[in-house]
Amino acid sequence: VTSRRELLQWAAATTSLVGTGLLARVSSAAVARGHGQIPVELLVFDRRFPAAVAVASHMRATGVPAVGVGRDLTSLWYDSLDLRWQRAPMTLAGITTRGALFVLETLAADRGMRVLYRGEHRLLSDGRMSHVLTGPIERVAEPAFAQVAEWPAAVAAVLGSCSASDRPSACAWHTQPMNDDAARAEALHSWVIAPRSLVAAPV
Amino acid sequence: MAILPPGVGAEGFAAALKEFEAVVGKDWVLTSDEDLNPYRDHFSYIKGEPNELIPSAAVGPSSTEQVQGIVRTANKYKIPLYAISTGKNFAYGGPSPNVRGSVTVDLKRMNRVIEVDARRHFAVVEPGVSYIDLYRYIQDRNLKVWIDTPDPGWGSPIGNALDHGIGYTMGFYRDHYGAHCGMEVVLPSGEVMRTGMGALPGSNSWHEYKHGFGPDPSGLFGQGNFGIVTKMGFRLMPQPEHWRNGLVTVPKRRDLIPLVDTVNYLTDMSMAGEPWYGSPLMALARNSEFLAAAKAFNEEELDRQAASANLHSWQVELQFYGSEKTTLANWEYAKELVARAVPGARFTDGESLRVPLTREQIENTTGPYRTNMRRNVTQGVPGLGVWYMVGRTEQNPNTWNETHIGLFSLIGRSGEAILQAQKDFQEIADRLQVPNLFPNALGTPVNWYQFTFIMGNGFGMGLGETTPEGKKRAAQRLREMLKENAKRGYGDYRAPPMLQDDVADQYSFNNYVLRRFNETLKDAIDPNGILSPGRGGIWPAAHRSLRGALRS
Repeated sequence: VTSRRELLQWAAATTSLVGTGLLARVSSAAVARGHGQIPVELLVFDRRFPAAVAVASHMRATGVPAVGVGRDLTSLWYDSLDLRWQRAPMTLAGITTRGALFVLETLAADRGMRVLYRGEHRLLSDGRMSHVLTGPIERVAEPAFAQVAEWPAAVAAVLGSCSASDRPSACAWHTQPMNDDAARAEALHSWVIAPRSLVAAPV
Repeated sequence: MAILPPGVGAEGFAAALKEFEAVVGKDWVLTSDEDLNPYRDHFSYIKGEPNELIPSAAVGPSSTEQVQGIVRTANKYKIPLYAISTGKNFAYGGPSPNVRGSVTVDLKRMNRVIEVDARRHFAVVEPGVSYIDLYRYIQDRNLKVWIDTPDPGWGSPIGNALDHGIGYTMGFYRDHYGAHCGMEVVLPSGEVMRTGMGALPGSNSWHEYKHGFGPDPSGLFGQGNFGIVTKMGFRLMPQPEHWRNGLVTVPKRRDLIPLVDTVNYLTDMSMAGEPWYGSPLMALARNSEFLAAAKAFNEEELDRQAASANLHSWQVELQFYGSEKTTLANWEYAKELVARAVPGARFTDGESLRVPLTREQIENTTGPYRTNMRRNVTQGVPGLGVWYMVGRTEQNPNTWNETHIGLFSLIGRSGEAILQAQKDFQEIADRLQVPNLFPNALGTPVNWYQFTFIMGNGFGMGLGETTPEGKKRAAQRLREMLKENAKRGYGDYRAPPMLQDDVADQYSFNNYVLRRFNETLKDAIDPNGILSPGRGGIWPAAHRSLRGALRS
């Protein structure tokens, strides 16, 4: 269950931006610069899995607020996202189970958002981690996975670098497992959900 | 995808889309693949196949008048429509239509809570209002009424009730269709009709006397295709002051019979809310000796092993709503009745809590005994947590359930009926080579509907089948299971579009006279067959050739 403290902190931060109309301008400005990078406004991570916690840690280091969830998204939805999305769509990233992604992308579709990027991170029977990514990440995925030692850091880089100006592409990587990868029975999924206007081609 | 409605050419469809745009505005007519993706059933056994049930377009009206305009246009071009409220009916097809190429009428923009009367205990909502929305509306205003929510609670009261959905509080409210109180419907002609006292202009009792005068046609709109419901009233439970639960266990296998009789008495006297049945013997489900006895339905041996393990055979969790005193009195009375009927019954007091429960109390999973209850729904609090079930769980060893279908058979509300259904369902599973996750001999029903039991039988987990061929095999098995159920007198209460013809086939009394009656009405009321053809197994003449088409 999402802690209320985390939610309130995030809500306070975003509300102040929305309240002054800054959020839309920040987003637009970010899209306009560089390669049209879409800034992530919030990361949702499954706090039950150390690899997801590690992604959150990397994202937080870049200034992205992160909120932990368990298997129940009710509090995240009722206390935060529902209210926030009633005002405006947003860019939300995540590292969760597939079930959580399904719930959030279904709810997001009702509020004018689409999935911009998806990644599946699964332990293979040969002991390696498989990473299959689809989205506008061509320019960032290769350097991210080639340069960082631990896959959560690479995923954090990808999540923070989706580009509105790139077409979706697919790529696959293999890395060494880390943290609880070998013990975790379920694959993790990384994803970015963004306002429909920023998603040239949903994946 | 670029598909067309059946029998409609590209030119005609383009003209119809223009007219839909004139009705709802260009932004609310969706035709691209990306925009139609949310209208697919992502758990469909035929997802990605050429016969997948996907729409050709979706239109999003914001008012009853716009729904009327859409219906009139559809009549003009003979385009099948498929109305959804929020489209969250996953396990039963989600938003997907019965006919590929239908135009989905997405009613989510009609999302007004029109009225909540906390003194007369009803709400009136539009189709796009979700249970979560209605709950929030009530909480924000501190109104002293409860909703009765399904689980998860992201769907709409109207959509859920029209598919005969259920909840988890007191008996009357759990039957969501039965607890409706008046509706407004756009008929296939485009006219607006109101049922019950709504037919009397100026009546102030529309949502209190749903029968009106003469035949009440409102039943036609549940699991039917006779109109698009644009407004509906629902009875709300007054917020109780107190909630209490307790656990009853009985030692022997045949003790289930007097236990059920006693609980039936308590619930039908409105002394108890939804009872949750189970078996403490699940603890032995991995014991091979026990499994052998369970597989053989060897009652004497099962009782012996239960006694040897110091376990009782059956349990029921009871819950009580009222004041602290009345809930205690009802619990004490329940104990007295069961003790009279079942020698050796044991009782464990549960929790006794002032209502409304705090969030922490709702989320608390500890207590005097291990509970199966999802407490939020017993308190009328909608949630999303139950979605974990389609992920990897003990019950579902796949990492993700690709083929999530609910199939539940209606059985008699007695212990004898449960014991017989256990044997019947095992025989069917054996015949069709469907592995069981649990011993059938321990299966217990749900009492979602107060006056009947429903038992999971053929719950479509796909059984690990994730390839297209495997899914076809799994679907075929489910169809065979439905036939076998019917041979033994078991019908299913709900089904996704893919299986609705198969379930409708179960109801075959007197050469399918019920279906023939409904289709006679359908042809008279909807001569062009535009409204949800095939829904509920009811096919209009214009599309009747499609009956059973998905079986091939």
